[in-house]
Amino acid sequence: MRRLLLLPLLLWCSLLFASEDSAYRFTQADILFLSRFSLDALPPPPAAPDNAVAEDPRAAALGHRLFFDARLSANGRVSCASCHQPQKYFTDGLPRSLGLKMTRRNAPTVLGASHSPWLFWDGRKDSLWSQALGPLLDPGEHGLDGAAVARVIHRHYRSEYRQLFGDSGDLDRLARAGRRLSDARRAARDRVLSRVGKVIMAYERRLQLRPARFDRFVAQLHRDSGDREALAALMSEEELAGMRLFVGRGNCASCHNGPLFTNYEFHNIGAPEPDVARVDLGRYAGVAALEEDAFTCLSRWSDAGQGDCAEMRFLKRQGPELVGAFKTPTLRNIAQTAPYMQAGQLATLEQVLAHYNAPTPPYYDREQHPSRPHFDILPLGLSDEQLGQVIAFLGTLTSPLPEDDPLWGEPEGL
Amino acid sequence: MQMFFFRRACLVATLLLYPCLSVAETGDLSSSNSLMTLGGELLHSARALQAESVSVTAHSNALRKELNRLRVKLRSLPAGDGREALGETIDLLAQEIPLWQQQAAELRERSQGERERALALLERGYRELWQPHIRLTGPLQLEEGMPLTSGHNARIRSVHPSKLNMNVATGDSAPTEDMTLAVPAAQGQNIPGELDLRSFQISRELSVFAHVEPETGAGRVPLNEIHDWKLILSDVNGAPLSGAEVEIVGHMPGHVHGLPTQPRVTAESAPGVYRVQGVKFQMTGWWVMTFNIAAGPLDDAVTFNIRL
Repeated sequence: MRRLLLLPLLLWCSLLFASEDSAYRFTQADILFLSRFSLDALPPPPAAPDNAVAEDPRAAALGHRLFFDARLSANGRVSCASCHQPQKYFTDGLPRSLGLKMTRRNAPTVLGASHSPWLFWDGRKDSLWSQALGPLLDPGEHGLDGAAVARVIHRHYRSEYRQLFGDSGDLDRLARAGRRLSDARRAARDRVLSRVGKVIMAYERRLQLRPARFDRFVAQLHRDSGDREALAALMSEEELAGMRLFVGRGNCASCHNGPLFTNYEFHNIGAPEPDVARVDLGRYAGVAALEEDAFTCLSRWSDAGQGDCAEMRFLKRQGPELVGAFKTPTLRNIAQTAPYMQAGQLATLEQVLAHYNAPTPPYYDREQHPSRPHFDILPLGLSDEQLGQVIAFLGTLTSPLPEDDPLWGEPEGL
Repeated sequence: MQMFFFRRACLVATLLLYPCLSVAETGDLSSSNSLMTLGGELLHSARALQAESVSVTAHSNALRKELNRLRVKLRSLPAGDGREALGETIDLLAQEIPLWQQQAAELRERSQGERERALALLERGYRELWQPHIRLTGPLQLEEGMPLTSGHNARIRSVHPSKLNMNVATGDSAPTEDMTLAVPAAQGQNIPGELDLRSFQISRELSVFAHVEPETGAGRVPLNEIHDWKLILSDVNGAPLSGAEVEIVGHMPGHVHGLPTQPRVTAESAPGVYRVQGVKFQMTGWWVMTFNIAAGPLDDAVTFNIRL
């Protein structure tokens, strides 16, 4: 009788171990595939021919100070770091960001942004330096104009500026009183602005992520994929099940791929329309803004040569897939950067996953939309348990906050 | 009709003889030219066969219609000698129809075979003629070591809420042999089995023969990277088509969306050799690249399938 009981028990145990083993079993092809998502596979930021000081450490140091300097705002209380807080992985935790007023969109992280050809949710800027000017000049964010920016630089950073760019004639000219905006003054103003953007970009390009648990797991797979204990210490079975869903049936990796878990492209996933009275046209409006923008790679303030700026020269200007489409955000540190979507419509990852599992088609208003929005996702039909596994996996993408990295804090002496 | 068959007989005879000729004249441009001319003629003959097949099918359909009409008439006819004669006519007609249908099928098959041979001839002649400009002879391929990322999974432009359930993504795709991860590769794109992936194609109106290839180091297509292509346009005899206006349209039939950029022809580096800039593919799968070509009175389009 006892033997009869023992047999099923033994069988059950062996099954249990078999399932555990298979969760941690990865072939060489699996490991190669997963490596493409690891931070180790992240190349340095792409060359920036439009920014001559992109790699200059002096520019980065000045940019670091400007990033945290609230004097660069109309009320003296808003800096870039107000909405891009290092402790919150360079986001602000709000649904929509708060500058001088409430903005229309959620603050995306700065981390990894240097790898994207397009900036902002709608991609209305084609470089980080040009992007930095957007909030500075927005009446609802920093609320400055070009002359005001130049005055702050003249008063507090004249010598650094002079050292970096060779002269400070523009600053001196703009600091002198004179309301009339001559062509020369206008050019001086725009040159100063573009340079301010370029030093902020030099700083942002240097921000680096520490390996998250997922990255360490992939590294362990490379070292010794047979060491089950070492693997289990890095990722749980639940997280691994989530990872398999993420690259498999969940189809998440279709757009969230590569070391930053994004393809930098624009998609319409039918996230709830934040304001049906004034619909957000997303990339469609972003493209229109790019064509008007005075600070693109093709502008006179860009340092790029002929043959550069391919993204701008071959900009896709039309197509139904632009309407209501937003840039795929990075999923690095996603568990720490709630709320989600372009206007923070979804408060938790549970809500996000529920949307992907049973999505609503994009809101369509014949009066406001130029054409019916393209819809890029299909229902997943995952169980609650599986959704929980995907969320658990997303938690393994959180990098530790680098306490000892001076770039992740306020610069000294500000 | 007789004249047509005579011309075809000549063409076939020349074709049979051709291998002997080409051995003797390898590398001779005029032979490459005539190879293309021959291919061009064969292509037109294939098209004529296709048209003939269509007209035979139409004839067969007309017979069927007539047959149905007579059958209705037969049913309403009172018994008598007229009824018997009509019955015989109907039987005769009914026997006739399968013969016509069979002939249409045979013509279609011959047309297809002829088209294949014509394209092979055209490509061979073209490759000899344009040899200095051609590096890629097979289909366009993705760069090696590129990430295995398939696209997002939309098969439809928009969905009505009541129809959502019809489009639930299918379950896990079968894992490949050497992977435990079930990565959906090009899943749900409805790629036809026998996709014509040749990088040499004849245009819709049979007036332009074209070749494309990526102008990258390895001659392969990179993913998520703007790169250049070379487009070579000639007439069906292989003579360069110069000064053409080219419009480029790329899309993914399985996803109902286009390219992430708008590529353009930016230069004609030699007569008929065009430089296409701004090409970028953001995902793997089945892409269709169409080049709309306008030159003087010519208004045509040539299409290439790519499986990345």
